[in-house]
Formats: sequence, C-alpha cells, structure tokens
Amino acid sequence: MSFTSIEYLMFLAAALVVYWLLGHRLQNVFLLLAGVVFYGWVNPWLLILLGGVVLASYACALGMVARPQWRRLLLWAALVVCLGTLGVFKYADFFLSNLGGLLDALGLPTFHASLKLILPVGISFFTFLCLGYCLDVYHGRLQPRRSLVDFALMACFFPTLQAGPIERGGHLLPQIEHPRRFDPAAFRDGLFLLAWGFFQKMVVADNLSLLVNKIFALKDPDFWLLWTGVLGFTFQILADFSGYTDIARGSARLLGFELLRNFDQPYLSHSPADFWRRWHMSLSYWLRDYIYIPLGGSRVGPARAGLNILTVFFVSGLWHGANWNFIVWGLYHGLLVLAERWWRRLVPRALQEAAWTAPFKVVFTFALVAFGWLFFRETDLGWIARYLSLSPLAPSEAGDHLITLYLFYTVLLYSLPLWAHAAYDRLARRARPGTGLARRLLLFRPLAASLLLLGVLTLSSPASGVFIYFQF
Amino acid sequence: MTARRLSPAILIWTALGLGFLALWWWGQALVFRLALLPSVEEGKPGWMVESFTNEFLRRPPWRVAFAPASDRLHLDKHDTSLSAYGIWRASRPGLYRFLVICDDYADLGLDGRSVGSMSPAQQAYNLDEFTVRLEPGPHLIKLDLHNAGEKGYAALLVAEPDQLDHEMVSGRAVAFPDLSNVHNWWLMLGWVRMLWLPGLACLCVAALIILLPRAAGLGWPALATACLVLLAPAALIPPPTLDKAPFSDRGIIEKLQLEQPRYVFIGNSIVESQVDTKRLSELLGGAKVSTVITYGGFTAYDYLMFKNVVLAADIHPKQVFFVFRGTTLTQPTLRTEGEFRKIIESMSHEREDRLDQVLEGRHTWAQRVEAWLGERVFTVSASREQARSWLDQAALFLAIPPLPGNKPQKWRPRLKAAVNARFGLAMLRGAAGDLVEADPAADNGRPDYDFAGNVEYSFLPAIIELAKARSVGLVFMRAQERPGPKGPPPQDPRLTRYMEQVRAYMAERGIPFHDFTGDPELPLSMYASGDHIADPRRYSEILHRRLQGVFR
Repeated sequence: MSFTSIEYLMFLAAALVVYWLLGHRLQNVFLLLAGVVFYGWVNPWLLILLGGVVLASYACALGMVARPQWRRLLLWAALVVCLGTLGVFKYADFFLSNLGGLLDALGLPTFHASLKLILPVGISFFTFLCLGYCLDVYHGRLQPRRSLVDFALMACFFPTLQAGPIERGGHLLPQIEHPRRFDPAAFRDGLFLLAWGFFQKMVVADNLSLLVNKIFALKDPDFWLLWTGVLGFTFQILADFSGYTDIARGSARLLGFELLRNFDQPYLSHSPADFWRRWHMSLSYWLRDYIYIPLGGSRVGPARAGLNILTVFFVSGLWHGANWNFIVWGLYHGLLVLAERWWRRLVPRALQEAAWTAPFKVVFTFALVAFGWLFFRETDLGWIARYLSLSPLAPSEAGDHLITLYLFYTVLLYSLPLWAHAAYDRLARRARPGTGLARRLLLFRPLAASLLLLGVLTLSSPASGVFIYFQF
Repeated sequence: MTARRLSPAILIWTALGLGFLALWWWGQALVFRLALLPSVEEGKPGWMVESFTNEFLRRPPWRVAFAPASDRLHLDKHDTSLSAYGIWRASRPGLYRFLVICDDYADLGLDGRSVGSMSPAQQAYNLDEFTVRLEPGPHLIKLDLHNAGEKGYAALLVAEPDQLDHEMVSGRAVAFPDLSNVHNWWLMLGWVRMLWLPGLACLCVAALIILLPRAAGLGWPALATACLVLLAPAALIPPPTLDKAPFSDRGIIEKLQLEQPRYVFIGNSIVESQVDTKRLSELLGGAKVSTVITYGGFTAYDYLMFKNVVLAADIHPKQVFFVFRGTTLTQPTLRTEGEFRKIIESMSHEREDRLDQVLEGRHTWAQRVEAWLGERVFTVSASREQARSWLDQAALFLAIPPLPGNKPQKWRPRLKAAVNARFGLAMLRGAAGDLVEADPAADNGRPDYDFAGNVEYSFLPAIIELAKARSVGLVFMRAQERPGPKGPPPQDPRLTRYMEQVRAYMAERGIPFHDFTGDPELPLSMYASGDHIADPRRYSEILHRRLQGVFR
C-alpha cells in the first residue's frame, strides 16, 4: 500500500479509530495485524519472507541468552538469514551478471543466468532492523524480548515497514512495551508532519521528477541543461525521501510513537561528514555502530581508518542498489569524507571555525553533494562518463540557453517550500515554549497546514510515482 | 445519552450547520424571488450594462445604461470594458453550450459563477464555447467585454441540451434587472454557492464532539480548528468553471471527411510512430490511409474516437485498426480520472451512457471516494490545471522578465513551444524514454491478466457492436513492447495466456488479430524512445506484409 494513495489515508483513519479504543496489549496485536495487512496489500506472498526473517531473528536472539555457549553460532545464523535474504533477493542477479561478464571478458566459458526474483519492498530496511537487534543482543546492549508480538510489531510497524527510518530495538521496543496515552499535542504534530510529508512527495518530488526524467532522457543534453536536471534531482530526492519519512513519523506520532529523525536540513551541511550526520541519519548511524566502530573506527592508524571509511561508504552505496553507479556514488562520498579529514589536518583551526566561512562551506558542500547525485540518478556508467565529458563552453542547440533558464527557474520555484520549511524549522528550534515566538508559530501551524493541503490538492503531480527509496 | 451529547455546543454547531445548508439549498431561489425578479419590468427586455474606462479599475462604473433589443453589445472607445447583466430563462434541465463571439475578449458568468474566460492574447474575431449544466428557471447572465482596440463587440449564442446549432441570445431574450446594485446581487449568488462549506464544517464539529471520547481532551475550539484546516482549501480553490469541456474533435471529423480513407488506424503516439500513411497508401495501391491519434490515450479514448469521430464522420472505411499494448484492452479506466477527465469530456458528447457505464463499473471503492473528494468537495481537477499554469507562468516570467526590448508576450509562447520541441520523442534516448512515457501498468497499479473475466466490463463489446451496426471491419493489433538487446521483450506467462484468450475471442467473432511481439523484423534498432518506432516507413512495410490477408 502506497503512502500517497487514498487507500492508505482510509486505512490510517480506520486504524486510528480502532487503535485508540483498545487497551495496551490489544493495541500491539492490532498494530501487528495492521502491519501485516499493510505489507501484504499488493503481494501477500511477501509476508512469508518477512515472517521468516522476523521469526529467525526472534529465535536467534532468544537463543543467545538461553544458550550462551551458542551465541556466536546463533549470531552467524541471524547474519546468514538476514544478509542471505538480502543477497538472494537484491544482489544475486547483479553478482551473476557481473560474474558472467567477467568470465566473458577473460575469454572463459560464460553463462547468462538470472533469478529474476521480484525485489520485496523495504527488504533492506527490515533486514537491517532485525540484524541490528540481533547484534545488540549479542553484544549485551539489549535484552532479547520474549513477547513475539512485541518483537514482530517492531519489525512490522507499518509506518516504517517500507522505507524506514531504520529503527533500533533500544529505541522502539520500550515504546511498544509501555502503555501509550493519547496526547493532543503529539496528535497535532503528527497531522502537521503528515501534511508536510504529502506536500514534499506529491508536489515537490513528483513534479520535479517529471522535469528531471525528461532531462535525463535526452539524447544530447548540453552541460547546463544536464546540470539543471541534476539540481532538480537534488531537490527531488530530498523531498521524496524526507516526504516519506515525515509521513512515516507523522503516522507513528498519531499512534503515540516517536520515530527516529532521519533528516536534519542536510543541504545546509557544512561539510561532507556533516551531510552524513543529517542525511538518512538512521542508516548513517546504523553503519557507524555496526560496521565502522567494529572495524576499529578512527582509533586505528590513518591508513586503516581511511580504509574503514571507504568500506562503510562502499556498503552504503551497495545498500542503495545492486548496481555499479551506487557503488561509485558511495565511494565518491567516502573520498569526500577522507578529503575533509585531510583538510582538517592541513588548514589552521581558526580558519576552519571562522564564522564568515560558514556560507561558503554550505554552498561548497551543497555543490559537492549535488554533483554526487549524478552517480545516483544515472544507472548507466557509459552515460555518466558521457555526461562528465560535457563542457560548459561547448556550443549547444539553438535555444537551449533559454530553455535551461526556464527549467532552472522551475526547479527553484518547486524547491522554495523546502527552503521555507528549513527557515521555519530553524525558528521553531529557537522558540522556547511560552514565548511570543512559540505562540506565533503555534498560530501559524493551522494556516500552514491548510496551505499544505491546498498545495497537495492543486499542485500535486499528475504522475504520482512510487517513492525512490522503495526500490532499496 | 450522556450529558456531553446534549451539550449546548453540539446543538449550536448543528443548528449553525443546518442553517448554512438551508441557505445554500434555497439561497439562490431566494435572491431571485426577493430581489432580481421583482426588479424586472414587464415588456422591457434588454441588458443592464455597466461601462468602465479600464478593465482593472472597475468601480464605480462611469456609465450605467440599458441596452435594448439588440443582437450585439458594443464598445466604441479605446481601452474600455463593460459588464452586461441579464436574466435569462432556461427551459429545461441539461447541458447548455454558450458560444461567445467578440472583439477583443470576454468573460462569461452565470449565477455568480465564472463560466469561462477568453484569452486576451487573441484579438479581433474571438470565439469560444463554454458548457454549463443548468436547471430550468431564471438565471443571471453576466458578460464582461474588454476592448483594447478601436471598437469592440460581443455576441452571446446558446445551444440547448441536444440541440446542435446555437441561437443568438439577443437583448430580446434577456430581462433587464433594473437594479443599481446588480453587481452586489451577482456576488451574493456566488457566495450562496459556497455556503455548503461552512455548513459541512459546523456539522463535522458537532459530529466530532459526539464521537470523540472525552479522554481525547479535545475541546470544540480544537475540533473547529481541525475542520477549518481541512475545509479551508476547498473554499480557496476556485470552483470549476465548465461543467463539461466542449466537444473538440470536429476538426478531425472534417479532416477525415476530406481524406475519405479506406483504412483508419486509431491509437496513441505509438501508432503515430508506426504508421506512415503515405507509404502504406502506396503499398495498398493508392487506397487512402488515415490515423486518428490521441496522445497518451488508452482504450476509453479509442472507443470515443471510433464512435464520435470515425463513425460520426460517416466515411464508411473498409477497416478500422486498433493498436494496444499489454493488458490495456481490458483496463478501461486508464487515464480517465483526475486531470484526464477534461480530455475525455472534450471527446464526449453530452450523453455517453456506455462510457459512464463502463467506467463506473470498473471503479474500486477507493477510487469512488477519491473521485467524490476530488470532483465534488475540493473541485481539484478544474483548479489543478490552473494552479500549474500559474507556476509555469511564473517560471516563464523569470526566464523572460518584462524588461524593455524583451517582448515577453511574443517570446514566452515561443519559449514554451521550444521546450516542447526540445523534449519531443525524437530527442529522447532509447529506453530512457520509458521514464517519460506512460507505462500502462503504472496507471492502475497492477495489470489484471484475466481477459475472459474482464472483457465484458471493457469497451471491446461496445466497439464491436458499433462496428457491426455500421458494417465497418475491425482489426486489432498488439504492438511489441521495447525489445532487449538480445531479443524480444520477456513475456510474463500470464500475459501469454491473456493473449491466447484475446486471440480466441477475436477468432470467435471473425475479427482479425495480429500480435507483433517476437517479430524478427522488429529488433531493438527499430525502436526510438520507449515503445515508439524509429522508422514508420519501414514499420508500415512490415505491417503491410504481416497483414496481407487483412488488406486483400
């Protein structure tokens, strides 16, 4: 079931009415059933896969405490189930085709085999969540839960099921286990988040996708036209994924849950490393806690630390998709973070922290990140190479200059709400409860909610697409 | 019943809601009964005309006049405007078509509602048709005429339901409302139309106070705010102007009548990329071939084109060819809702019982709710196009600002045309074109592969019935979707079974069917963008060879 469908709105409204009439234990059972309906709406067979991963993780975690001598073995079992599922459904065809290509290139007997399995929605999210839980239990950071309903609800919580945020057992399980009370303020916040999420996806992302898809479908874009498309994609992907996350967080808040924050104005980052502390934060912190730190993090020698960073970003790229362009994108960001580290060592600290450099750092980081989205958006490496060879000085098709200008302004107009929201967010953080600013913002919210709804109704794209991160 | 349920707040909100709804229901009749009709003088037909020196400085009018029996309204001064009010009676319920002919441009309104605006860009002989569904009885017409040149005029014509030709609404046909404040009554009629909104909002608040548990801790101010937030956009969205887009395919009918084709191909841009009418005509020994294309159209469009264009042209073609992809034959609702509704309307006549029956039959409950919300409560489809055009205009404004020497009125339309040309199908690369082209399956989520079970709920039986009644031969062709570098596109076994059922269905009715999927002469190199063919001339030759038996 897609978040942007009328079915979802009805499903959520009906679920909310029933949910708040039930007692705590029944609420959990009901939410679990709602998650099952939500996930199995289009393809019920995928529930078997989801159920298998959940049951295996639940059993392995319990076994780690009940049979401490088998802890390592059970962790391996959990790793095999979670990563194996991911490997078979997401990466098998990629590796098979590359192996076939490699054998072909070496002049050896080759093959053309593929499993052609459908990619279950949200597979990367729920496998990482279950894996994180097992790792936490293994390291003693979390007690395994005996209640299968509570554990399964964590994995099948419908707001996070399709595209995260990648929750942690330590964060979500206590909320599941403790009774939840209806809080009008949280409910209001949840509705506002929902409205903002729908606006981001249906107005900003979907409209920009029409423009971006057209530019990336051109046979012969010139330099400026292409990079206008990349700029459009830069805003599209933020609005798309952040929109999804806000709908998920808003839905969860209506149910009395507080999910992890996934975005924190990433395009106002001061450096590439700062960007990764603000973009898809739940994945960044997952990779940091379960890969980077176990590898030694930055407490090892510089060469090893650099390798650790590249490894993490390689995994991050691969997590996003089974294609070389995602790996290139991941490694590009890894190199940026490494470059930032060297820059920090070479440039005097006073200059690094000078207030006047902040706007330049934001603009420069934005440019680097936007450049990287080219590798993310274009899946064909041949076309990426062709795009990179375009010169800004090369003569272009007659009229392209004006067309680019028109499209550039269109991108800017669609991105305006994102900037306005960033400003609002900044103000909201400054406002202390009870102050005049806080009261003014409170009055502003119903008006803003109405305007968002008006925007969704009148400006939503005719071609509402699926969320980009559903494919991951 | 608890004390809460009998609280005064509930009673007040309910009474307010019912009061607003009552005013909404009877308000228009009251305005006519109490103010407008008593002002009409017996035996004094004509328009009440207010003239203005400038379109934008409307109040107060520099002249209020009575325009007696006359076919046209005139403006004889440069840069002036007029608003003509007249009470006109509709004789029966139905869809009325108003035609405005003017110089320079005009806006038409009915009962406080804007029905249509003509483009200011066009000057001299300006003509536009607007359709409105009306109930029998008196209606207040408002015709605004704007004149930027030397002299201006406006004439209003109307065609009653099921009437083909328009008749002049002359001064004799309208009653003169002898009111100096007629403009205020005009506004009142507009406001009355919106009263359902506060009525609904008040009833919602009352319902929420009853339904929500006290434990929720939400008082009526919070609930009223919530209802206001939800319904305010409905008040802000401009109400729809046209009740139905006017039929716009008369030009294609005339083209077909001129060409008198023996073979007609109906479909979307895929057909345009496949059929080279000139080449096919040569191969057929000079027999005329025509295409009837609706860009981005699917089966509902094909049905309407066949019925309202090809058959309506009365040209008696020997055969009509329908081209489809995948399971679209049995997906009648593809691209018929939301903003596509207006396109469907522009291809439809006032009554399209079969179309409505097929479309209604295929709607899920969620689609029905969505349509109700979109069409009735928030009137989205009408306003969406307008809102998007404002954004587009803003981008054009920024790209070509109104600076001296820029000539924005000239260059902005040209820039729009250049953008469309730059992203035309010929400019797109191979498979990437799929991203901008419609994926039939994407329109309805998942295709249904049960042909036998769905065919009766599609347009296919209607097309076959019509063809039989008019003795027109039908041919169905399945276009091959874009092949891969190593061969034809992979086939879902369910789709293969679907096609077997299509073949059997057609064979049973004696209708030729050809599936181009897997054709060895259609490798990837034959394709342009998406499923479009790069070389229509060559494709026409292949088509001619494959369908020798049909053409013979």
